[in-house]
Amino acid sequence: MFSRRNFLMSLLFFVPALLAPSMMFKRLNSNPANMKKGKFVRQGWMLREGDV
Amino acid sequence: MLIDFNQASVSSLPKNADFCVVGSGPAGMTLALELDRYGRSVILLEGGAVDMSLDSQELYRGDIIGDHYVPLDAARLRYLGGTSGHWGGWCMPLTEFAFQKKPDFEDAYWPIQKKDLDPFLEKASSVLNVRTPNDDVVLDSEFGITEFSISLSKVRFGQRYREALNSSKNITCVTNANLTGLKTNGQRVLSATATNFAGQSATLKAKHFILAMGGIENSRMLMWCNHQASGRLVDPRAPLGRYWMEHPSYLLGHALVDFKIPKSDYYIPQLQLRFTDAVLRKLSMLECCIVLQEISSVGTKGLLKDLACVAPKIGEWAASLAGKNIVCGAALLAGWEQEPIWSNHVKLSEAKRDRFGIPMVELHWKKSERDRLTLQKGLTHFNDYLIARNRGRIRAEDWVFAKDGYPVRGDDGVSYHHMGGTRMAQSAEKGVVDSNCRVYGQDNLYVGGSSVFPSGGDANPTLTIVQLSLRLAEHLRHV
Repeated sequence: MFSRRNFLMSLLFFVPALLAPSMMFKRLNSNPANMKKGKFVRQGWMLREGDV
Repeated sequence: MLIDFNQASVSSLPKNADFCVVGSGPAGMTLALELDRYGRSVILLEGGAVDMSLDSQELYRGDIIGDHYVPLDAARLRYLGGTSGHWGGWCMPLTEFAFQKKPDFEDAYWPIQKKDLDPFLEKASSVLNVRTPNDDVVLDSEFGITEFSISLSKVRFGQRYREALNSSKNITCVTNANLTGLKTNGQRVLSATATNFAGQSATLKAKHFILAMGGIENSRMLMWCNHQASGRLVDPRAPLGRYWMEHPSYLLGHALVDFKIPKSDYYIPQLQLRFTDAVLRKLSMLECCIVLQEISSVGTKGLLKDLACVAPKIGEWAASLAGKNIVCGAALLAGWEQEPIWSNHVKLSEAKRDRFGIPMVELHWKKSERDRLTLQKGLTHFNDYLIARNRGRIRAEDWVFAKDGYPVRGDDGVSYHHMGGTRMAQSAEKGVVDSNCRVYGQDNLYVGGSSVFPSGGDANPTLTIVQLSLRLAEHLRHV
């Protein structure tokens, strides 16, 4: 019923789906090494906490 | 006097002069005219004609190995006046910082200082027909941000000084005269060989020879002539062709700022900013200038809308300022100093030769990770200033803070500033020319132009090139 193959297939399809939003969030709110604490980048805009 | 070697016989060329200057761009032309003023005889050799010709331009072809660059025969011009025939005209002197030693960048310094070139600033400005550039103005002392001015020159050296060459009693300018060899006895250059496009050659003698052929060609021809002379022309220790540099310059993105971008000498309103020495040393970076260029009101509205979507609170602030017509949208550009490194170099091609049988050029050039860090640190510091003072926000393109990769789009990234290759240094181990631009290995061979720059700062090089030529003329009048 829940074979090893199905389990592996679920890993293949579902894990990336679960991670995608957090990866997207990371991209939207990346923090380049040079940026100081309290500052971040969202969709290219270099912002600080309180801007959003 | 002007002589076209394609039309004139070999016997009509001068056989001897005090000086033989090769190249009639800003470096060579300035030098020849200044030596003329001192009453010295000059043979000025120009490889091209009075106007652009395809035969001549073709000799500027070459291969680029490394980063994206524009074709080398499009990046420079080979006729009377040289590349000033299509330059942008920005004039600004190098800063003191550019000349000084920096602990983290061991090869980025000059053996002379800014004060050695300052006496020639006013005269150089006059040669370029611009006002002497103003000193930087401090915008924010805490953040060490200054505004610098540029003077915009419209001088095309070929057009502007052609008549002066023609009427000079001391200068014989020979066009279509391509340098194809230098004869040396191992200590002094004895003669230069010039060849026209029909293949006729002439031998020209002078007391002193000066190569002023451009930021790539100086290296190429010195390498070739050195090869012909079995290595007796240039000190074998000298890093000939090495430490070649450009000023990487890119559109980084856009910004919304709460100040008006002033009208400038440039064609559109723009603000040019750089950082003080103290900031550069603290951040361990080389020079980086940030330029804000005003964009249209439609573009500003687009930026406001985008900011409001991404960051509603600051978007509200920006929109309220926009209502008062205070906020301004700007294109954000940067041009910065590339670290001089051994691996960036000019090389003679092993496979390709030009019509005179001289190896064509290979330019090996890449921007390093440290070059990218200079840009990232500069932009981050400017952003810190905008945020701390609440003066605006930046929208940077994704690549700016990526680990590698630059956008490839036309000539974005290219400043057409060719520096290094025959760098100035205190010893032959570190450079090709000494602090008087004399080639290590010869008593009477000199180099003019930006190929002698050991570091490039962030200033457009032409004003410095002219200053160096005036200084060289002052030196040569006493030798």
